[in-house]
Amino acid sequence: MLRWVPNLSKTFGRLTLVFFFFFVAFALSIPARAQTASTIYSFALHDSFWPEGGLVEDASGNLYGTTVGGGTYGTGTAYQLSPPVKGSTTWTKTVLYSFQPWGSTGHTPSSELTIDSSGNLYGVTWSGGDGRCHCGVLYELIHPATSGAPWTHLVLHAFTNTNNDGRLPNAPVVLSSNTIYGVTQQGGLYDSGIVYRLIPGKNGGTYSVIYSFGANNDASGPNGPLLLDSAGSLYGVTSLGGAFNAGAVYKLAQNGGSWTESILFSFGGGSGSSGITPVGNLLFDSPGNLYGVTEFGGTSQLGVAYELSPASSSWTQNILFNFSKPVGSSPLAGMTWNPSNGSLYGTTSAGASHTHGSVFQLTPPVFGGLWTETLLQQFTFTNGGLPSGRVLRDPTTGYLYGTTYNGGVSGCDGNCGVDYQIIP
Amino acid sequence: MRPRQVLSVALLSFSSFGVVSLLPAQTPSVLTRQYDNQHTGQNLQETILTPSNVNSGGFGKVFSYPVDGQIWTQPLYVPNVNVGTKGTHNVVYVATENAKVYAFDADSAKKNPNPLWFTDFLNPPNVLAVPCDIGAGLCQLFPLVGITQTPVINLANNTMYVVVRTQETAGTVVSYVERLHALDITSGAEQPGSPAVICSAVGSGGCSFGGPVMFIPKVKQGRPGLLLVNEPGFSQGVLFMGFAGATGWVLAYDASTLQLVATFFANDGITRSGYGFGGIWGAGGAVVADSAGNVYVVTGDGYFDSIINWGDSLIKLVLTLNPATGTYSLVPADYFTPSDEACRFTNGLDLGSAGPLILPAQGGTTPDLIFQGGKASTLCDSTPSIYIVNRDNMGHLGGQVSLSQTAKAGSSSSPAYWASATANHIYNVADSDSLRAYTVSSAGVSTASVMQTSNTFSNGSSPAISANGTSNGIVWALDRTENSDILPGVQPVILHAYNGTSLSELYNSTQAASGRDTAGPSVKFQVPTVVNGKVYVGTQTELDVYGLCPCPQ
Repeated sequence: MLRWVPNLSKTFGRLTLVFFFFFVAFALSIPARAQTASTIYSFALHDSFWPEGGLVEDASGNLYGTTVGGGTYGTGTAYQLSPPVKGSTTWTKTVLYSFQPWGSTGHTPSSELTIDSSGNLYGVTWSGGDGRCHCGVLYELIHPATSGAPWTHLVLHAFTNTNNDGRLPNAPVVLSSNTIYGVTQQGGLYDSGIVYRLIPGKNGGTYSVIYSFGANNDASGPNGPLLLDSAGSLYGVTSLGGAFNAGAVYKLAQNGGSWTESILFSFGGGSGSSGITPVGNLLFDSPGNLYGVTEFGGTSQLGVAYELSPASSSWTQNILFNFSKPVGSSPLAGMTWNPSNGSLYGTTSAGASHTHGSVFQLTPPVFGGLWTETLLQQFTFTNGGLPSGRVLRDPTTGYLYGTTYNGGVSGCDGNCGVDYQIIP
Repeated sequence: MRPRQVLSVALLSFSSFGVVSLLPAQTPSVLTRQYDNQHTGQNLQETILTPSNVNSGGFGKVFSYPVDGQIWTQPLYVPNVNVGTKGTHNVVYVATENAKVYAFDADSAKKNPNPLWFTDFLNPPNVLAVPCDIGAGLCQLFPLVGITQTPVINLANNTMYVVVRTQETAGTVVSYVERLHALDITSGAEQPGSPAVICSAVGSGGCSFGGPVMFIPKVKQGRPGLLLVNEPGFSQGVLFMGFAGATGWVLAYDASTLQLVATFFANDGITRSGYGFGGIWGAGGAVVADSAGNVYVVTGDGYFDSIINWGDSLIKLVLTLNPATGTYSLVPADYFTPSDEACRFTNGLDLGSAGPLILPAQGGTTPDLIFQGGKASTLCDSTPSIYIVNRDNMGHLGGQVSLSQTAKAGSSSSPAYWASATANHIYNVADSDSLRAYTVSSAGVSTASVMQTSNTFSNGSSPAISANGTSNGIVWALDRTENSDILPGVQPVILHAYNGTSLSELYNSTQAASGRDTAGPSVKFQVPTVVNGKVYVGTQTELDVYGLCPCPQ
């Protein structure tokens, strides 16, 4: 069964959170606590390597992710990372599935996973699938009924790049009731990517392309997962297109049986000060503002964190933070709310003290202006490098989890990557 | 005087651009990587594409062909190929890392959406392309390593030569195999005597070719394009192939019999225990040859002693016959090694990250030059440089003719050359730098670039030139835009075209609206093939073809 992905628009309002934060920080004067960061798993060449995207968590605290490389056939894995048993500090990794470079099942996973309420996992691959197109697949890993039994891999859709279908899916899917939504980076009517919908069912269910990007000055090249609001509209970012061909935030609204796209914001204006190449997931706050990041642009041309607020004609942008080499640069994934204090967590792929990226926290200002960044982890390459996925926050403990694509154990080009834990 | 027996035999000039004895005159072919054995990267018989018609208004992506694996090899092109019952076609050939060779109609995917033929060297799950984490590891080529070396075509016998790397399982025994295949270009069928097993070994085993170093297929990755060279005594020429992975190798095969003729290894790993390497890769272009049949290879990091270890060196290899035994050797007859070789070795700065360019004779006192880039860093040199080497007297350690300035990171790609009516230029792209042109004449190569593009290339580029002789020169270059540490990478490759005399941009594949010209995701080592009014670009997922519009959405 599919489940509704938590909708952050239902979280506390930002203003409320800001108030709460300051109440906690100043009225209660709780002493600040230094965070603890640790590597919970180091990938290796002949195991699996280069974890892609972020992690998801089940109700038991198991983490799930994918690696681009390694596994039985060298073309990637889906894995489970189980927390230490009592008396141990060692996390246990189990490969759930090794992607095969032949046949139609798809290989080289290209995004983090999505988990449903039954613990089934959904993901996409960059290659394999359709015998002519080899354009990737949407797959499901079905949780075994018996603990320890193998997971079942099922191809839900193989992208064909024909009949306006897409190709090269590059972002995790979103689940809504009995429907899966996702994007592909290319393919579709203008070879600029699509948004697709799959309603699982008999004979493969009902698959449809609900939008093709790229017409005229349209957004082009989806570059992150979809976000669903309570009205069933979809939001996302593209790396190109828009008024300045530097990327856009788009909305797809359903009206009857058809979907209508609107560009909420075009990046690249102000000589790039508004950001260039938006990437990763978007977030809502309670009033309906959107939050995200760009890989480039801003005052240092190394990315920004931004807020978009709805206005009568188009949305207005507020820059939250300008990334730069000293404080971390070029995020490759979106951010994660900390609902306990209204701050945002994210990663930068490079920069910070050791040039190998960071995990940051952005705290809202009291009286307007830029948000304040706190670096929770600065990767040294030995303990990870090039984080490319979003941060997972355990809602119970508040602990943070994530991956780095490089760093860690040597042997792979750029080293093999790690999974990390931060106790804020 | 080099120890070589010279036979007075007039032979065809193999693998030179446009050598098509049985085909209509003026119909060009592209038979080898970077267009000729000197790797000038030029097609001087292009009469359709000109600076006046290459713009987004009238030029763009006209069609594409999906393939099942990444295309690290340069597409090859032969006109007027009789493909049996499928008629006569201009054919573009591509080889993929998933160990397939495809022959596509070069003019229209609409009329011929399926391959004219394709040859699959796999038999899954027992015979697979080799996962990159096997053996040499690192996964700089990712995820599969099947065919990386650009094949070479010999029109004299209608044969394409291609080296395929496979992992083969029989029961619990896993072997790694390198094979040389000779395919009929009209059908994809194996020619008589094909394939020849270069080496097949169980696990980490290897093959001995008579020296102290084993050739171990589990770790041996062939990267440079194959070279077919006219050598005395060989009716169809000699195939030269370079390998990286632990120790650099060059193997020479008789193109007629597919028999091994001679070998050369760049490092023994014994003289200084634990130090080997000298990998031969050059971003796919490390092996070149002059018109006399001398072969030049450039090596990556490795121990250097100028005796048996040749790390970070440009080496002239001469195929030499021993009249007493009738056997051949690859003799290192001359070499150039940068004076900072030891520093390069310490800091991982391969000279051989870039392929050499043998320049056409320029006159003057030192007419025969080689342009050799490579990785650079101020760690080893205050001014990162390109080396200009006299191929008639290569100068040994620190003996370059001159230096030309380059960007601080140096290059991991190969240059190209074009002589316009007014000047001779070398076009080179360093990492995170513009495409720059250097002048070359009888006075040598300019120490600084004389013009450059307004845009930069994150990961360098190996350009190609199309021109009608000395006019209508266009420089074509591919841009892999994203972080080079992320493999396979997801962003489309961008095709750029520049006026060859000014480097002003004529076109790039992001200009047209509605994603009309979007290419597939980028790979490394790729060189655009420009011929007969089309530009063929290999990507991770498809062969993209650009030409004069109409350009469908």
